[in-house]
Amino acid sequence: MSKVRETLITNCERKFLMKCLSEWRRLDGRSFDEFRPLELKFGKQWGSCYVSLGNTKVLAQTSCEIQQPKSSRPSEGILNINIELNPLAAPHFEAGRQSELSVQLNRLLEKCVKDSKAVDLESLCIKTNEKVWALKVDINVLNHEGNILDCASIAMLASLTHFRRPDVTCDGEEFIIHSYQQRDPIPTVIHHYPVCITYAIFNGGEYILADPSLLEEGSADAMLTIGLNGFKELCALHLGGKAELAPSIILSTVSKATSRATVVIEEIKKSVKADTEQRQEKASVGFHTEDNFKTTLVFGQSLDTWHTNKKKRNKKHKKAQPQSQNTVVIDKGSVEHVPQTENKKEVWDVDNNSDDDLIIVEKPKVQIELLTDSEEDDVVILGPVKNKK
Amino acid sequence: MSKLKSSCKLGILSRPDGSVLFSQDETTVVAGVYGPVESKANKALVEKACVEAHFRPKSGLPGVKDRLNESIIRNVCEAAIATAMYPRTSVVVVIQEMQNNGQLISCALNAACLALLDSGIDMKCMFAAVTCFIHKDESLVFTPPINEDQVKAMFMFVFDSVEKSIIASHTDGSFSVEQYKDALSLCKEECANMFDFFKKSLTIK
Amino acid sequence: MLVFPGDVVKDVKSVKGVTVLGPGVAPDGSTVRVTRAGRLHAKPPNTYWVEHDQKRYVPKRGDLVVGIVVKKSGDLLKIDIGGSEPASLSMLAFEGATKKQKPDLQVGDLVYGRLLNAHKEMEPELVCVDSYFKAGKLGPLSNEGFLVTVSLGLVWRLLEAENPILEAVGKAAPFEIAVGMNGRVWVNGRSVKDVLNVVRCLEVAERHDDRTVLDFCKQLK
Repeated sequence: MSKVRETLITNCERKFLMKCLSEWRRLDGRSFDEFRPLELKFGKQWGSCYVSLGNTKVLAQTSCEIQQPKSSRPSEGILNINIELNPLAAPHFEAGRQSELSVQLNRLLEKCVKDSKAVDLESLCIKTNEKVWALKVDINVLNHEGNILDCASIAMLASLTHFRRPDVTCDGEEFIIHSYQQRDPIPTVIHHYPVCITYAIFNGGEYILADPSLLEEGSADAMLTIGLNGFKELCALHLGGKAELAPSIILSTVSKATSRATVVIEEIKKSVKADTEQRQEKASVGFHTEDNFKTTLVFGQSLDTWHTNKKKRNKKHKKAQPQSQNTVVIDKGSVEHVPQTENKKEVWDVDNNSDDDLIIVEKPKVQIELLTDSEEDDVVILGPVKNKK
Repeated sequence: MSKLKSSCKLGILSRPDGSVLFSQDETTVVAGVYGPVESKANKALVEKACVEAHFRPKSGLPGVKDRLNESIIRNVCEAAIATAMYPRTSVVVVIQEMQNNGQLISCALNAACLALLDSGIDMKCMFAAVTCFIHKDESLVFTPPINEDQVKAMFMFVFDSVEKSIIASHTDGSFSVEQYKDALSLCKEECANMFDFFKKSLTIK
Repeated sequence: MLVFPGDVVKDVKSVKGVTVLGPGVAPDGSTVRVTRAGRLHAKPPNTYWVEHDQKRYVPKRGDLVVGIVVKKSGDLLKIDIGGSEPASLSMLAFEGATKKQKPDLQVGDLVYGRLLNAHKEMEPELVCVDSYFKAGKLGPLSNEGFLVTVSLGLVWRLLEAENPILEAVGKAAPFEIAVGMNGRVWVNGRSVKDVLNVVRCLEVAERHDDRTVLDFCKQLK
């Protein structure tokens, strides 16, 4: 086993990140409440699902076998969750060894899905006290670029939703397991879909970032994980790290997360449905199919995405700012004006000059800096210079 | 006799030094390479790099079969990598199974080769693996039959790109010497196609 | 011309029996074989190498690298330069450093140094002075900037004398840059926005050709 240390987060990266946050920017151009793009793909086998959240990639596979039930719950099936930090994902992950991180992730996923009774375990029972189905979800992390948990929880749910177990019949004494060809396999009953949504917390709740990247994750004071289902019910809540958070901040973050949860659950349901339809049409499905290998490289994000990102950021900016307590009024005042001018510009500038957007974003900031005891002379000096351009 | 359809996408993972999503027929794997990286004191070799292979099945813990795959991958990679150029270091090859349709080992080996090429580590030669099957009716094919019981024997050969000679062979089931020779010559023809495919996919990149 | 491991380089020229083989080509008996997939370059009269856009750095003597301080032990610093093992850097290998007066470096800080020694059998050694004990551009890097990791291919591209990328980026906003041969690039500018713009340009340069980058830079102004 190789001994590769985790790359250290340098002081300058940390410092720069904080500086960015103080200007309401994120390094990858996202807004504070923006998540990375989500993509789901399904394998040929039932219950095999590949999820990418930005560059974080996870493979989940659900499998089943018949076991004797636990004596304490004789009429319930068993659900096991196992997350594996594959050495592919990061050089310091070791194969086949449990680390603190993997135990924590495993426990959080269990808390979110198992303890909230999302999967109907009673329907997995074949014969009370004798035979039940044991479902096992294996999650392999393929690439670690921050926020494994969200990605893994989506992969797990998608995999469970996609999974079909073989039908079993009983003729008195004998149990017959029918193959997939003989009888249509049975989907798992899922009561609700709890997904994990993670936020990184900086400066004791001053900056709250959705879907943190690797650097953001590494330099955050704390990580707030919220497990939510489609009915806006809280299934899990975990605050790791140290940050003194006011209850109001947690509540407001949870309410922000609910809308994200709905989006994610819709996406999961939609992709599973699309895949099932494809199967019914006997189209070829699986990881080997053409569209997985289109010449577009993964990094082949076109230039335009930067532009759209920026625009999104401007729009979401409005939402992001009022959350900081100190500057609510000022922000509202200054920001309210911005979208109007911005919209006008967009209408006139058909060419979509992204730099216009950029400057506009700058303006309110300069104002904020001036009003709230600006410490950085640079910003004040540079602001007008940019505007002249 | 049909030729196998292969597809690959290089550099799909951002963390490893070289990575590839590779599929052959319906079997799909993801391969990643880290190297040369620092190796543990007890593993470090004074005169050459230590090659480590990890093979992850998609469900369950790695079993005996996966360990066997791991050792095959390790041995083949070690033969191909110019290990003498990187003493006291480790080269880590990780294969993740995505979808298995019979020719998992050859698919894993081909993916490993592509990932190594992508990482830019020095290699003595390229290698390509080809699997073929003998049906119950004694026919020799590349695509595995839908039903596993139909397979009488399975051959997997690995060839190098320089001498086009065999560097590894793995068989399963019972067969005659004649059948082995037939399979070998058949796979040798096919491996030339594989090398062409490797070259093409690297050119596109 | 694209070559692949195991290919034989034909018509290898030598001057007085000497042929210079760069990365990606190695002698094999009397022939010269390619060891990496990439483009074969030849520089008359007798130099050959293969270019491949890789991510992992292998230390080479004389390279200027950006390293991260990972450990401090007495007068010796351990610097992560992205290679297979950390390089050592003496506290005395800075301009004007004496036993009493040493540079103030903490774990996680960045240094820009030259590899004095990088043999595959030995631990690499880093210095922050030239042979006249002058720092030149070397030494600790300020904590104000930002660190980006890029592929080695992009580093070579950036360092080509006639490459227009950095110049074009500089037209949009002034910035300071330290490009390490190990794929680490330190960037500093007057404002966060300027630094982010440079970082973004580098990201674009990673996957597009120079022309596209130049167009992108124009939009930044």
